[in-house]
Amino acid sequence: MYLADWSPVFLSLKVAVLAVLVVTVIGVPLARVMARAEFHGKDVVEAALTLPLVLPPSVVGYALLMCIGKNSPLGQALDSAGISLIFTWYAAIIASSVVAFPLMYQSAKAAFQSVDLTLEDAARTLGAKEIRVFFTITLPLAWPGIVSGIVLSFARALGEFGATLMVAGNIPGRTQTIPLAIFFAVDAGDNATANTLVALTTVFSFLVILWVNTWSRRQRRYLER
Amino acid sequence: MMEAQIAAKRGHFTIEMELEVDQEILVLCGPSGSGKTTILQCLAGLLKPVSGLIKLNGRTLFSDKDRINLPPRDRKIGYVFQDYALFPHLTVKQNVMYGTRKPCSKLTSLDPLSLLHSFGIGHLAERYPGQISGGEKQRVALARALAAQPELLLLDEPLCALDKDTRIILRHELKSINQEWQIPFILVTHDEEDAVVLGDVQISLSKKTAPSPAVPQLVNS
Repeated sequence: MYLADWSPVFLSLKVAVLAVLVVTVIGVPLARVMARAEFHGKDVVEAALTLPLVLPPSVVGYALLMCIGKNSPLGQALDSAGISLIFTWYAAIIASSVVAFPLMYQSAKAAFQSVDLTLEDAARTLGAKEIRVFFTITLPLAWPGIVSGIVLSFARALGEFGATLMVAGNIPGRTQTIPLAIFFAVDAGDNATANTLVALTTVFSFLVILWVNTWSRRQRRYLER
Repeated sequence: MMEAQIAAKRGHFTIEMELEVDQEILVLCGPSGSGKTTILQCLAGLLKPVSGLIKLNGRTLFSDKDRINLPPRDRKIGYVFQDYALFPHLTVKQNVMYGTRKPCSKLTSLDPLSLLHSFGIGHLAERYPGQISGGEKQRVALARALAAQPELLLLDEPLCALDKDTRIILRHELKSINQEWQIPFILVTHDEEDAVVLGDVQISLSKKTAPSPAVPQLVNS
């Protein structure tokens, strides 16, 4: 195992963790609302929220450039405030969040939809306020699904390549994440670095999936009726 | 004392119901689809009636005229659901403790553990609902509803999922619990034997498919 520069590893972990945080904070409450809401045009909103999952990453990257790039209204507003997102690791977080969002949203929504509404009603007749119903009944019962959403979106954020390359670039030590480092190592004929990064990523991903599967099986055991 | 005159929508037809019950067991009897559960849900506040008035011990819980519609948590009405609706991620003890009021309550606080023992399920306190039998679940559901110290207890088909022996035992238990707690019970069943044995008062509902109101007939036994 040889790695001259560990910065892609740390940067990838940092970006993925923060992207998961963003995606969880936005995705879980939104999923809770959408799981129960009935309104006109819900299907359209649903489709829009899932779009980044099916679009090619280069399309997402281009769309993000249009939104936060130097020539966009938002980009210019930020620029005049002295903030530049493009080609920074913040842009990598944004790119990872956007592509990972649908995985979190879909998992959490399915989890909330699977919670028996009668259980929430039972809690209400026992005197529980809505906030208590959510935190003591709905959330614990949806938790396994939310965890799988966290893991899936983490894996997606960690592997993000196309959109990240377009908005954050490939600046070693600053925006070069593992997938980018692997691509450019192979491109430069540096197979030693590529091998190490590939092995690290594979082992890590394998352990995460293994842990989640064991954990969710244990969770399901006592939920069986 | 519970008094209610309500009209509720259920699918294509409207159910109209007038009832009055005082520390006894009122049985609503009728085939499935006759709107029994709809009525319980209206009384508990889980469903909003189209119109009417619901009063419990002088408190107005619902009134379309005065635009009053108390949420379920403020009604002090216990509800034993048809499939028990026990919280699968909480132990039997945690289930029963869920609705116990805080010490500041003026009511004498009730010990959930002694309640469990009086229901013959004290040994199950640390088990999860997935690990106990149907009859045991029924007792837990009853204990949980009563631990919240309700002023009225609603029971939706409490005996329908049980085998014959358990059914007969629980029927008599329900009767004695009602006498012990001295609060009105409203029980829904499609089983005529349950209705006859349990009911101090019976109301029969018939299935209506036409969009005309189902007017229940009152049978005093």
